[in-house]
Amino acid sequence: MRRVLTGTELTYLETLPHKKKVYLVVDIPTAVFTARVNSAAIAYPNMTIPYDGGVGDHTAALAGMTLILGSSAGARDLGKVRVKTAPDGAVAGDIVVAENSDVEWADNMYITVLDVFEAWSVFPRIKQTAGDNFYWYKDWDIQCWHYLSGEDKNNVWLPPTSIMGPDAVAFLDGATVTLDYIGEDSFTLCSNGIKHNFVAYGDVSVSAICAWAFQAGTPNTAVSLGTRAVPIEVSYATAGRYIHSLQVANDLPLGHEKTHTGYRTTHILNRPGTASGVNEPYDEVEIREETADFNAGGSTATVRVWGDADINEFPDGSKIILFSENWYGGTLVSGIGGYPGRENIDMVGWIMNETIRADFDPIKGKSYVEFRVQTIDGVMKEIEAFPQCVVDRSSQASGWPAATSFYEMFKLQINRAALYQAYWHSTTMNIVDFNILIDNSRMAIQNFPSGSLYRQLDDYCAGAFLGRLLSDRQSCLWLEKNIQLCPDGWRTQPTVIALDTTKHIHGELNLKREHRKKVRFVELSGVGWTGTAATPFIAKAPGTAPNQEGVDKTISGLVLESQAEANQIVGYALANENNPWPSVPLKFQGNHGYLDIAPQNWVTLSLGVQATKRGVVWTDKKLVPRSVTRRYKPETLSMEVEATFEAEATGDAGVTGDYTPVAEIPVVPPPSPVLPVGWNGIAYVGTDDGLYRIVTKSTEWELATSREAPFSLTDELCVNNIELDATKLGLGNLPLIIATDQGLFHGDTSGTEIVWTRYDIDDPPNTWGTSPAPTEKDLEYTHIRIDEHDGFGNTFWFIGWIGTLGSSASRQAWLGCTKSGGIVWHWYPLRDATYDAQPPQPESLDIDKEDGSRIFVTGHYYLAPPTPEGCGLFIFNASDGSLSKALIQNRELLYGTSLQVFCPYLPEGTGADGDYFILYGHSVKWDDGVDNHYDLIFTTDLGVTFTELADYSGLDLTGEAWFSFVDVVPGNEAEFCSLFSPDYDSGGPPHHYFIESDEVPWYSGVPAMEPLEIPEYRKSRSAYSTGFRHKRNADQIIMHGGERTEFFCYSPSYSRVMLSLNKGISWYNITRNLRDDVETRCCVLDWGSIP
Amino acid sequence: MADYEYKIGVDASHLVYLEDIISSMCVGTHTRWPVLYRSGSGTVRGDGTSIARWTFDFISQADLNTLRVYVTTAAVYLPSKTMAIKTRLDNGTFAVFDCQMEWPETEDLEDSRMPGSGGMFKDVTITFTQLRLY
Repeated sequence: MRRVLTGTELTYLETLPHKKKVYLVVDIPTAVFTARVNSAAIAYPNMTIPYDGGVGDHTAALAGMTLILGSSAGARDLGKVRVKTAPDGAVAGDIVVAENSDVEWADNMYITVLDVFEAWSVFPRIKQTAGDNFYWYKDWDIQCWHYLSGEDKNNVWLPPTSIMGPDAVAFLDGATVTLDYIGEDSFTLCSNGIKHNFVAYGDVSVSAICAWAFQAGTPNTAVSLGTRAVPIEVSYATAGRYIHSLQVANDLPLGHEKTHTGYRTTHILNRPGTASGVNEPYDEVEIREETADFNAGGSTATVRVWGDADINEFPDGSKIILFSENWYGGTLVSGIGGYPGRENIDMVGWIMNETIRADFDPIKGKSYVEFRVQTIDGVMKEIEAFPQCVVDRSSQASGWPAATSFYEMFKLQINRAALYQAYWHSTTMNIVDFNILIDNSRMAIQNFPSGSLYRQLDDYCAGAFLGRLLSDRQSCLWLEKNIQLCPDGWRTQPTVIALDTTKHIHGELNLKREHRKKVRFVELSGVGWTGTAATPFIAKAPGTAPNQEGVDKTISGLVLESQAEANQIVGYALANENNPWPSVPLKFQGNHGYLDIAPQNWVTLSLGVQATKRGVVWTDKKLVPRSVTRRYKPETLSMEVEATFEAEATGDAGVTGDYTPVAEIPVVPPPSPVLPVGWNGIAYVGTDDGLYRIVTKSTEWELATSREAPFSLTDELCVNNIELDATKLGLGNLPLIIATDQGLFHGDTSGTEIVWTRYDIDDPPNTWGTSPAPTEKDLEYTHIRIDEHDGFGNTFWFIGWIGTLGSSASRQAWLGCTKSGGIVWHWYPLRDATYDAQPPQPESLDIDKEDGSRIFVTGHYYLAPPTPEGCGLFIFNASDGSLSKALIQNRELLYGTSLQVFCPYLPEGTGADGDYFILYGHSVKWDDGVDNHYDLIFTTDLGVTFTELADYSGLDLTGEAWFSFVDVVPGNEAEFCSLFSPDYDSGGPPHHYFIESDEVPWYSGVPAMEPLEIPEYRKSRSAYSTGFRHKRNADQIIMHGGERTEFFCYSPSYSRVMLSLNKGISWYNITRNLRDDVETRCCVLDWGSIP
Repeated sequence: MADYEYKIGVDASHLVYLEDIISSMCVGTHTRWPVLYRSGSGTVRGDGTSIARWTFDFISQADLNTLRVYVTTAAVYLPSKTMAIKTRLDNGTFAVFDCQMEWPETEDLEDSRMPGSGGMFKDVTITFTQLRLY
């Protein structure tokens, strides 16, 4: 009750005697529909259950009701599930239930739908659909946002919330009894705040076409919410248990309306002893004590039943309703406090456990069952929920909200986060009221770690706004800020009653006053979020210097809106910690049943100087109840009420805290525990802004190609490929050759600085007869391979081309070669007779490992419609550069690309030679017939026929997987490894697949990237929402030649070089990240001997 | 004003004089305020529903059996039952109430039994709670 007591109510309270007659109702549902399972084969995840033999009104079985399963009619011995979609046939049909694995479905099981709505955990589901695409669902199949239709948008416009109070109970004393129903506090939450009732505001409002339904009531429907002034009046003529419901709807925005339906029970009862126990409440039970406790979050009652309490009368976990008739000075009134129209409901709770006492003393022995009943918080504490996270996603350029997945929330704010968690992950809001804050603070992100339904929300309240999730006695839930810590706007809650020591309380005062301060200093911090920018707020109290007594306390992570708010809260926090009056116990005269822990309200108490020996003077001292105990005495029809209060703690606002930027913590990469044999610890990465070098165990990358001669003094240097001259093994750091957009360069690494020399290459021939003729300086060099069969390292092959990526216009491409260390140059056009005018875009280059007599080049054709794009493969004779074979593949398919050709070492004695090579690409398999498919194929006859290298049909390579690199372990030529990394643009986590040709099939799930994320302390809030779902692909993989189990790969997004010693099962980050503002293109490790 | 107008009945319309059905005499008390609050001003305020007690200095087994009929349903003895009485108030007048008649616990009754008396009991108290003025 969040209001001041009326004068009439005050008069009632002050007029003794009070009389209270308490009754107990056990909510026992009835079967509305029964049937039997009609399928011998139901297996997870099929939740659609065929049935036959239906009996009852199948239309009365509603979504959300409980379905019990048994080995006989009406039994529940085989489990229970939640009905998700009502049965669709009277006798036979399907019924859809919530996701379950604990039910062993079998043909002819008995299913019974009970007319009861319970608290359930609603499971989320994350489904990988194709490639790197993940869909997030709630309750198995509810989408957040449908990509094509744009419908749903469930995290943009949340459903409204019905507020309808607790269950209703009344005696049928006459021909009919009339009950009031009020739903005017139902609300919807638009992006700009809370709006009630019919008030359209912002982008949503609660619809005027709300719908009440009253089973057995007259009327049985209503289309207005019902207000305190004009409630919906419904009369009942027959005793019984009935369901009533309130559906509220958003009527804005058009096309995205949503509804929410709350369900409660109405119990129309006969007086005890008048109907042979039928629809009669219990009045001969002993309600020993009922306590509401702020720290516990709700109320607990102990109910002792002396008579029979078998399982049919008190089913396990049943809902219990305690209600009463109340007289104040002889005047019968419904009650004081609680939900309007439900003042007679003392408590709504659920049986949590029981104590069965059987005393074998035949004379003095007392046997009974004692039930412990708890409000809804107790139920929520027993139900576990999955962890969740939701991040703010405000809007995008088009103006349409951008929250397209369930982990994103349009304009995330303090209430929307709570509603997101409560609405989508449990059914609690369907069975009890869920009252929210009057607060519109924005927030960037909220995590809900794994825990109970209650713990998730209660921890959220504590962490975000120093609050609690509280249940009042009637099991209505309240998100509450701690009234002691609230800034002034919220703190000014109404004073329910000014207590009079003569008329309201009695007995003795036992005031506990603290002499010592417990906390000397509080530092508080939080973040203000605008949707685009985060502002940290830090405040401290009492000031820069602490008090003398107590310990220091830190509060962090709050959702704040201003520095002034932070300063105010920190002042109150210090005052509250040092509250001199933390416990004020009071005993009340009579039935002060309005006292409760939620919603929080003040009472006031005044004490004169003579009241205590210490001369304490209180003038309208504000007190807030933290614990309220009620004991019912049936022999005198009276009730004892005792409550413990906290006195209001007030203090001066704190001061703005010092913000000291966190010092940059050097990230020291963990050293690789074992350096692969021969590796000297140097790694090179080529980027679109030069070549970088790092020595492992150091912390900084070094730019190895300064903007000085022989490089351009002004232009960026794009390093497309790197080759180490392996013929110099054993001499220390290996010489480099890099292929760039400025030419081919040789790097002498023997000194402390790399000495670069640009190869003076002859101009290519004017193969395509363009004017002016192409020159060597026009070329971009993209690939380079040193022929390992030339022991002097004088022979290397490379590709130079002119053109635009992704276009065939004006493209010219050549294979280049020198066999004299750069004295004599040769050029061979990538030229196919059929497509002579449109040479391919080069994609890869390799040399056979047999004798170096065959040069392989792959390319990608961009052909003019209607001819589709195709994959190209050229095989040259190394001796004279003649084209021995040209393949244009995939004539029937679109978008084929030969991405990589790779020639492995072959085992000796296999009889194979350099005719063996592996081709990887996009739709390169001839008769695949599947578009957008990545294939890894090999040939042993120099490309005459191809075969799939391995059965990787089970892998998800059909999505936008872009990067694949293949390498083979030298020394064990039959073994090779391939890395697939899906396209990061699809936004999901990457996949990494590895294959070994003769040992194991494909295996995936290698946690390659996960241990390598930026350490927590370096994250910013924005990093959560932007940086970590993108660009986590590995770009290259290279097998180490010395140890067959070692290989490394690197990730271009963070330029991480990673080493695995166990075939990719675990990885070491052996360098720190490179710049993240450049695009990396290639990487090599220097295998030269340790210098 | 009669000194002894105690009556008992299954309800207020069926009251009979106690002396007409049993020979034992009782002393009746009526507690208007079974719950007392001492307020901060020093005043004492009363709450709760009044209680009456009939105490028999001596009562025979036969009389007890007669009274016990009022807490009996279908030949089953109950610990208490709703019925009506006329009893004396603390101002000396008599008034009729609906109430709950609570039968003394067996153990207490046995303690009150007078050995060798031929079935006599002493100091037996019957309590009537939840008194509602008829």
